[in-house]
Amino acid sequence: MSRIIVILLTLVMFNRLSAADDQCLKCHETIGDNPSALFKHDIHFKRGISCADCHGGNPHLEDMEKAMDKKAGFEGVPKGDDISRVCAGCHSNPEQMKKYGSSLPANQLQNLLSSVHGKLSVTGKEHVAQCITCHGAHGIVSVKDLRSPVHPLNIVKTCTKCHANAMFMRTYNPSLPVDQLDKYRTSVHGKRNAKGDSKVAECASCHGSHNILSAKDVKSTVYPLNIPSTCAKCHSSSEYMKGFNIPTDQYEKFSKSVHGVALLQKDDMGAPACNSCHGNHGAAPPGVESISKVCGTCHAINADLFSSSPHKKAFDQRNLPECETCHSNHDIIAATNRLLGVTPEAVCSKCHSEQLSPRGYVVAKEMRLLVDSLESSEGIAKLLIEEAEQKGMEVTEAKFKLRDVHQARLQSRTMVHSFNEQQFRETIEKGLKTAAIVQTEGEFAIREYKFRRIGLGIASVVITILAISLYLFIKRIERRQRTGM
Amino acid sequence: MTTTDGLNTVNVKKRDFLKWILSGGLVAFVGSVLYPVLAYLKPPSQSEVEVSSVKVGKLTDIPKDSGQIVKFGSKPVILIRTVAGDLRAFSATCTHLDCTVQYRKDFGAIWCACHNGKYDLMGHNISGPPPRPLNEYRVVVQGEEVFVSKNT
Repeated sequence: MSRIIVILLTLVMFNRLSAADDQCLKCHETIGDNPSALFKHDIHFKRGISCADCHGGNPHLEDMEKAMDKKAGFEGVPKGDDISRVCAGCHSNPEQMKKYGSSLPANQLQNLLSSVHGKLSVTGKEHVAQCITCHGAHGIVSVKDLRSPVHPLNIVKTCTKCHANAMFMRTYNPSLPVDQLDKYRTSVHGKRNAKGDSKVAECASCHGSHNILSAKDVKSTVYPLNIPSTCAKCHSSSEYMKGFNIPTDQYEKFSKSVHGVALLQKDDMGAPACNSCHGNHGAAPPGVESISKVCGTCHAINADLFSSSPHKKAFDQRNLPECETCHSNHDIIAATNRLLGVTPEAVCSKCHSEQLSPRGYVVAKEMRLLVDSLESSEGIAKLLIEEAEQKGMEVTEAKFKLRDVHQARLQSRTMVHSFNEQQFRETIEKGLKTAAIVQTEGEFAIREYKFRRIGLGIASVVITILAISLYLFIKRIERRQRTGM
Repeated sequence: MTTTDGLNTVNVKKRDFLKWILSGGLVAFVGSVLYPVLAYLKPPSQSEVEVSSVKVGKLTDIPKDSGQIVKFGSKPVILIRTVAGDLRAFSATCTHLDCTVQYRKDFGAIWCACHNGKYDLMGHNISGPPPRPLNEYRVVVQGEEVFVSKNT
């Protein structure tokens, strides 16, 4: 700590040390070593920071022995965590940074230490990443400078120095993939980045820079629940996306969709985020031919039924995206009966008109009628069972059967994707049959309740009449006894 | 009552006492008739009797690598007997859209026919749309009999 204070004091005292006065630089330039050559281009050198500001010692002394004496505060080459501490001597001090005309945030070390790189350590003595791991040591330039290893066009290479090295990564996290760069180069972001577009997303755009957290950390920008807002930072900004010619309403649509509501409002981790359909490092819109496969990773039965349906060929011929044509993409709403049929809001009517496609029109109309009748029967059965239950009747068995009706209705929604009226009808009829049984049981329970109530009423009246008669009879006996006296 | 002889006084007191008994009995009778009638007419606050445990059957009748649906009140519970012979029970209601799940030998998993949701044999949702694991029930074997009860 005292050494760092000495370095800081040195830094303050000689913060505008000219290169001509810097004996360290003079000497090292004479030797022709790499650090001194690089340092001449370093942003720190340009702001008047000398070798001694990081390495300690006295840069004014020509005598090497004295200049590099420990008594003169000479530190030498900082090792391990000391490297980042030396950098933080200035970078964590807002006042100091202001003196050098920098507006960089002063919490980088704090962020680094709380990041996955700041926490991981193999030796237990030093953490996995120091400032120089990404920024370099002697040739540090602004992040906006194309020569910077953390410039948007270079950062991918910088990160993959470690992250694409399977041997190295095994030391820290053997289960972490090392093919991110390969995937990234196939993505829209990666392709544009390779062509020199520095606006597209690179590693830091999604993962952060100093504060990178594990994807399993709930605070991580790439934690499943946070991914949509991370992508939306760029993709929802019409200003930022100007020139890319793609919509900027995806997040707005997604957040209202059945997937968005499940993920963002119900914290349902099984619901898809942006990367579930687009990929993460290889992010790109799924092609027309792969949409059903992407959706089919979750909606497997629907995808299988569709692939073996007559619609598959028709869609392929017209180059229509399979699931998206009927369900849309970002704003997918919950599937209800209204999607089916020939009414204006039904998706079937987009293609099947009475004149142009009478067969499809008739089938769509019939399917809608069937599913509506099942829904109606289920509703009636449910109401009857609820009413009977409210009246105190035992309807456990009927309630159990009602589940089968619900299941048949949901399965019919899946079966729609076969576009086979017969198969669809079979599923619906199974549900209708069970609904009819449940309705009968519900009606019977309600009739039974009414019968019992009337019976109870009659019994109560009879018992009451008997009791009153008995009372009057006793009264009469009493009266007779009094008269007899 | 103006009579003053002792016998009549006893009779009058006796009659008053009987009158009180009879009137009280009548009131109690009316109450005992009306209360159950009114209670019967008013719907019960609890819609269903809470089931806490059900008997499934004999352990020897449950083969290994099988699953069966057990009625637990009006709700289904799936009882699994693993290949190793362990017994596990979970709510058979899929956490996605309330369909009834089933055991699939070929998958070695619990499966929902509605949207292809899958759960492992610990009830964890492993693929498809289910958002949560299945609720676990307790399986107790007493002698030869197998019981499933709520996991408290």
